[in-house]
Amino acid sequence: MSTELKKGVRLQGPVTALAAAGVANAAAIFQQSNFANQIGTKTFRIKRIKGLNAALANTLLHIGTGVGGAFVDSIPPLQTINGLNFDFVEDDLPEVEWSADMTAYPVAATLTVQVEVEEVS
Amino acid sequence: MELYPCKSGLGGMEPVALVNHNVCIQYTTAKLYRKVTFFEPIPPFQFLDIGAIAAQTVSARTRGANLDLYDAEFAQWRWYPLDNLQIRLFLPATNGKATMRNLQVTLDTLIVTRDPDLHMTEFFMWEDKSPWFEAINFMDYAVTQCRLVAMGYRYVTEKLPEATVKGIESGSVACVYLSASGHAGGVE
Repeated sequence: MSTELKKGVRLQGPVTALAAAGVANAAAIFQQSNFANQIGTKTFRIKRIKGLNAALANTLLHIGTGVGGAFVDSIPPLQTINGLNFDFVEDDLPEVEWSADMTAYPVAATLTVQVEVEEVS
Repeated sequence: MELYPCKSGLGGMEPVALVNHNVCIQYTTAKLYRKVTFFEPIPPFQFLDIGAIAAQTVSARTRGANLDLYDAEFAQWRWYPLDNLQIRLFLPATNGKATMRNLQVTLDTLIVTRDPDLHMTEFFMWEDKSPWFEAINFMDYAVTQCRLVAMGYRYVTEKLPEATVKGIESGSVACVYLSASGHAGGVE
């Protein structure tokens, strides 16, 4: 268990089916809070990602920011195994802080994912 | 035992006055000089659910009527939200609490880690002049509820005789001053 200097609020993203493969189809799996009326700037860190590989093949899941050609990996791709659930938790994931929507794409579709994040403000 | 508003102490919450203590409750421009005749703790309870709020939306200003008291009573409340929203408090409805020149400060769920005793959330309330709350759903996701929890003390009071009030105003009689409303600021 690590010491966290920036405590946050644990939230979950929606269950998202990444049904189209490839970087051009990167889609949001958690959206940053950026309402004009909010007080302060909010960022978030990934704490867990749970999912199901229904791609009929082992495949990589890329997680980062940006969509289409603007996608950039924020953490190394995660290997997922054909037909199985995957579950990467806090200790498996680097302490990367997002300041934009979190997007993802699978190399082969479909992966269904849900993230837990800690929102910091 | 030193008693004063917003006391942090070492854990928990203390009453601001005991039986037979004098208080002056300031509600907008009125000063109400009272003597405490009874008080009791009110354990944490959910006093308001503003309800569902769409993504990136500010809720309607909603009155916390479950905090209302009987006549001649005042309360000392500390509070926090259960849901991931930023909440503004108004007391009365048009008078924002924690307001500065450029900003009215909001409260969110992080208050329970940054100020575990919630002493920075403390406010006072006279009779049924309960506060109003406005919730900012800053997320890109809708919420289905906006629940607020409060705890504190309820005090029953009686009016102080004029001679005692004069003594308080001259500084010869002890009294705790409590603000039961916001302050618009800008006073020279």
